[in-house]
Amino acid sequence: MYIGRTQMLVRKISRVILNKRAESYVISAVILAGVAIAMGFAVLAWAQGRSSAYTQEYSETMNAETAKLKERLAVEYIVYNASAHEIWIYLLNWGTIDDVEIQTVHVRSDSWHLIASAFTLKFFNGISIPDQDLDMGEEGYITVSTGALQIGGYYYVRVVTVRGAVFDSTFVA
Amino acid sequence: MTRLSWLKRFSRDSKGISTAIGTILLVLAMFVISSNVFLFTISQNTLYSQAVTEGHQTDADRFNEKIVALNGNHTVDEDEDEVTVEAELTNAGSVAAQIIKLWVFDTYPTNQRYNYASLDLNLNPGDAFQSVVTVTIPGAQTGHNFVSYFVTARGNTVPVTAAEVNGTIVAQVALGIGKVGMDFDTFIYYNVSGYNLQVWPDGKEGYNVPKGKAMAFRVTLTNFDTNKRTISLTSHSALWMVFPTDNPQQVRSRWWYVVNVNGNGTILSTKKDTFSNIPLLYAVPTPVYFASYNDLSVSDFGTSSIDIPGFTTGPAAVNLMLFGTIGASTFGQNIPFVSVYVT
Repeated sequence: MYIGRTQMLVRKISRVILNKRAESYVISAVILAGVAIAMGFAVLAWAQGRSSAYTQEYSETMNAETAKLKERLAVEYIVYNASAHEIWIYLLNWGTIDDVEIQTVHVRSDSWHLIASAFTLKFFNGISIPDQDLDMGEEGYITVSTGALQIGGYYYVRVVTVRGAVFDSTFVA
Repeated sequence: MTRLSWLKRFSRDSKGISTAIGTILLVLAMFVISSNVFLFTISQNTLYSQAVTEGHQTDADRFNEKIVALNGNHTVDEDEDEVTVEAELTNAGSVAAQIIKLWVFDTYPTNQRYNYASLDLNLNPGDAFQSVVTVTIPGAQTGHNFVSYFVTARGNTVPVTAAEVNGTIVAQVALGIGKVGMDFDTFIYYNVSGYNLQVWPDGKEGYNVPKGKAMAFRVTLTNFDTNKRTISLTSHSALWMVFPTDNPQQVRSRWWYVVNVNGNGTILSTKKDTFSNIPLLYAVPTPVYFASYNDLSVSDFGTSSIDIPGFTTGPAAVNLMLFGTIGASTFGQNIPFVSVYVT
């Protein structure tokens, strides 16, 4: 009895598979349409995702570049302390954006180059600046240990901010 | 008619319509997405361009900022270690400017120190301002040279330029006449009555002077020391006249020692040791009065007149004998600067 039912089911399925009559068009049309719509939505979602990612990246890049453009640092004075072997760089943020943070300071002469990134930004009165950045109109100084410099030598200083802006100055040790 | 039949056919015929609709929807979707991206890109580019423009404007403002600091002068209070910087600030640019700092440097080899003063001076285009700012520099002395500059809120630096000096006088100083210049136009004498100078303050033109009358002389001196040190005149300074006499082998002379005079033309240093040294600041014309027969560090004030045996009238050579200090050093100079005619 059970075997007979199974056989009947197999026959039915075989008939459905092997049947080339009208209902196969409908099913295939539905399947094709479904696949096409699904793929369409998938492509659409992918395109939307890609465009969103692109716009977000672009936005971040442009915001960063715009912020960098607004940064302006002026070096008020640089002095070399020969006894302590360090230079003091007095800075003023005269740009149109807050939070100008210093990433690195390059000190170089014709045959020598020093990159410093460990320093503390202080107010002119010597008190450490809490947020370690310069807001608009704010002044501060950093001290960079340089080792012994040639007294009377001409040195170049490059201040690089976290946003990537570069400000150059010079001093005589 | 043709149009209606085409519409009827299109509305009744559903074959292939889904493909067209699907294509249209897909194209629309892609168009919307790409349009969004494009418009977003444009807006971001606009923002960036705006930031670039603002940056250029900021830089242009900085370049157009032009402050000049002329007639600068540094004076030192050695007791207080204070350096006072005087300068005439003028906004000669086209934008308003704010001065936020003054840096002062002592360039003396053994005292190369610096300090600054925070300021808040706002200058519109064309504005001028006489600034007097004092900073503390330990070890600063009058004889030291100082360099100073102002800093604006846009980060520009404005060096303080020393007082401009008349070229002729500079040439005279360079030729060896000395560190002190004299204004020939203001050389006058006064008749002295008691301790009063008459007629105050104009006196009389000093190139013709009377014989036998108590007189005082006013000489306007200017310190042109190239190191800009202050000269301080002591009571030994005197105006000295030499007269040709009947006997050429006998040199006759008369002198008038320096005195202190108040604003009413009254001599203040009338007693011994009451004379106060007279400072000659760099590039500042200063009237100096010579009236006493005696050096006020030696004895009390006494009048002096031209009353020379063997000399009646005629020309006389006048010298200035200046003594004192210049900066931290001793100063002494004899200036054969003018002649008078005694009547």
